[in-house]
Amino acid sequence: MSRHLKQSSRRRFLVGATGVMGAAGVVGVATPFVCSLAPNEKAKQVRAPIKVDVSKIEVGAMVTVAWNGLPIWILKRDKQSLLSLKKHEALLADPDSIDSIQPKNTKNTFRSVRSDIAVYIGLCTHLGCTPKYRPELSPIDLGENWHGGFFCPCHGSKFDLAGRVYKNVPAPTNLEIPPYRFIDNDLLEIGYREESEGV
Amino acid sequence: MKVLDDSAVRFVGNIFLLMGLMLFSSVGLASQAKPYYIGEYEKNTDRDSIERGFVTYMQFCASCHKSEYVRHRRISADLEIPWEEYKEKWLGGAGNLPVFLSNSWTSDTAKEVFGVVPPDLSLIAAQKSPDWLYRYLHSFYADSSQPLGSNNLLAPNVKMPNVLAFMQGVIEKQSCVNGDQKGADQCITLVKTEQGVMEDHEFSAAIQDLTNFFVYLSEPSRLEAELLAPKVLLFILVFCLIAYLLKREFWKDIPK
Amino acid sequence: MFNALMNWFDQRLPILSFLRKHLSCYFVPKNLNFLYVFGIFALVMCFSQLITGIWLAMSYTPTTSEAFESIQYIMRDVNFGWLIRHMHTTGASFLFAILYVHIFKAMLYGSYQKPRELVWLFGWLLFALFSAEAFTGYLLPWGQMSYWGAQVITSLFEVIPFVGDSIAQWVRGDYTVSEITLKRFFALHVIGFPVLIGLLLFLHISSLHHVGSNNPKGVDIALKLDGKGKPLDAIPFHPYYTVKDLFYVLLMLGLFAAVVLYVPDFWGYFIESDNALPANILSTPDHIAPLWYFAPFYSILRAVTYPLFGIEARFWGAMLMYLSIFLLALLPWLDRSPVKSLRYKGKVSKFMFGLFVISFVSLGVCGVMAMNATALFIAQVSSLIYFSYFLLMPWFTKFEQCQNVPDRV
Repeated sequence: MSRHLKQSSRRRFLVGATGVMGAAGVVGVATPFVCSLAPNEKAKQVRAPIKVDVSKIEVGAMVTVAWNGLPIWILKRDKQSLLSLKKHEALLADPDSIDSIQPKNTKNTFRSVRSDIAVYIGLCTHLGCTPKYRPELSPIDLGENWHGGFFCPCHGSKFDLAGRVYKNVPAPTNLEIPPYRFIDNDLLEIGYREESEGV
Repeated sequence: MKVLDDSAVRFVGNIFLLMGLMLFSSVGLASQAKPYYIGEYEKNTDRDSIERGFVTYMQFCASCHKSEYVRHRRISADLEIPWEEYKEKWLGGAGNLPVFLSNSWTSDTAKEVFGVVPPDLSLIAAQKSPDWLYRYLHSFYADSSQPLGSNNLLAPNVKMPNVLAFMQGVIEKQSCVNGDQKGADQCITLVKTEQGVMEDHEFSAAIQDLTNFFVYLSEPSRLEAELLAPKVLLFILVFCLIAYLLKREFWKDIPK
Repeated sequence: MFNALMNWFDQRLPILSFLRKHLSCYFVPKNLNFLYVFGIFALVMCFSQLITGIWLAMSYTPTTSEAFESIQYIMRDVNFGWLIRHMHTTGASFLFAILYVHIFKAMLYGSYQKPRELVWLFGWLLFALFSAEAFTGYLLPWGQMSYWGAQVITSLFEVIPFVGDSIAQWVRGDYTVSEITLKRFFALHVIGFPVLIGLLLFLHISSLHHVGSNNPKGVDIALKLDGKGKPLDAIPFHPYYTVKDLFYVLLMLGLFAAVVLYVPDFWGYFIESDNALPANILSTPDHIAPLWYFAPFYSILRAVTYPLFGIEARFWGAMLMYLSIFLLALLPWLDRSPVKSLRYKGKVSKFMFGLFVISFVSLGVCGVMAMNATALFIAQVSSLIYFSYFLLMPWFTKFEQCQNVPDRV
């Protein structure tokens, strides 16, 4: 009797040990497969910066370029709209860009390096749709309080001409701003970093 | 005074020694009997050796050959050279840095200048054996009939110039049968007729390092695999042991 | 609580009853030896090939301009891509090694005989499918050997009189192996053949579980039952064979891991050095040989060197190669011995089987060697033995003196 009991406790121990080793083995084998799905060297590689001449852009117009697989908006704003940016701050969720992503030198009211030229990553901060550029004031579909800006048709998020998000819309933060600098008066380099790699 | 005496004696002694050495070495050269000895390649994955090979590669290979599957960042990480230091030393600092081990030759201009496009070296050690590479890099010899003045025993009429000649010294081809006797073509040895900046064993060590680098280059993951291997095998061994005990325990139920 | 949930499930989908039927109440002869774990090995490797294959397909590009590059991308940039690819390449060779032992075991113990003819036939089809899977997969890296190997093997169809050229072009979809061929091979390799293999695995195992396993003595355990109708010489698959298989599977995985991590190219037998060069349609490698697991059949193909009935030699070579594989399918009907296991068969059977195994191995050795007179001669003699083993079998199995098979294992 005692021998049988001893055997069965040994048996239980061995079954347990096998189970633990098996589980550890499965985790060990799964690890490379899970890691394999994460972004690799090719995906992490920083894309070369691009240069854009902004002198050709008319005042009030917006051009879209591609950089790093993202749509980049370059917008030339007129004096009038720049002055109006201060007025509707009460309607905005993050007027001072505290919670939003942008290079340090664009964390201001205009959200830009040069006040008239605005550069944004053209993806809604809600779920990544491309918002529409709607510069006109108080159009029928957007209502009285529309001061010009960006409207996302996917889920109705609204941003002003400084890319700042309105209150009570699905998008949580202002439009993201990519790193950029002016090489010349009118020559913009998007994606410029202290260090960058080209192909 | 004593100190001066001592150094004077040592100075004179050194001169004699030097003269003796020169005499000895010139006698050695004149005889030309000893064939140039090429050792054996010994495979190893020593990071320091690979790094020395990398330096040789960057100095003497990279200006003509590309290794376009290989990223600079990967080499910096694998050889544990801090990126800042690597960038400064090999990529000329900041600005628009190249991603891959490439150069500015286009295939067309390379073909015009060299007569062939220098092969990409990313996979050279997988295509040729490491042993072949090691012997190839030793087997250049002076040949005035070639446009670049050199030829290779392992790859006759190869278009590659003997860029490492200044290290190795002058190597010449010698038939081991005298004159125009039969079989003179079949029996060929290399002899060294002029000393390069390196001694023979130093040069062989440099080629060993360079070959190690090419082996690394063709499969950089080898370093990672050989780190992982003992851990995996140990785990399986322990698991095997437990599984064996479990099997034995259960099979006690079964009468023979 | 847990039991209630399991019952709820079991009433709707009988998982528990299924597991009981195929594991804890599936009775297996208690004398199965080491050779019987190779079936489990094959299943484990199939699973590994499936998973690593899915992961490789995520990063591979089936175009002539990018296929080779994408393999280098997997080897150098994809996280653990090198491990996953080497598991896949090594896995292919392991799978074939395992299959050959598995087939050897079936021939040794007469596992193809009544009532297991269907198990054998499904297994035979599986072997053919695995060969097709390996062949299509080998083109994908688009190296020199991939390209020229595919070129040579698809040219085999050209030897068929009158319609050969059209068939070869139909298989390739082009006049030579090209991107069109690459893309269809990719589709077949990742979807077509794996689905068929899955289906046949199901049939192979279902038919096996219906009739039960044979054993090294070839004794029919169903003839001696206890009072409850359970065979006296059988034990439940679970836990006895699950724990035994677990141990052996771990041993096999240890060997597998050692090869994957230390010598993934297996000194040129699993990954050939010529395949480190991208495919070049202008220059053929000096020595085109198939991977080692096709070598025996490739040897038979090369062994025929003279034309017959006005049709060129390579036609007969190709026909003999197909015949050598086809004859295996007929084995249940060629073997007329009253006993299953070679242990109780007569001396002639034992001698012929030994000769057959030697001839198969030497065909394999000749197949990986470059062609020369000695290799050719050995291949020709071995081919002769290979075919005579099958063609003479109906006679030597029928007329020889067999030993008595015991009642119990």
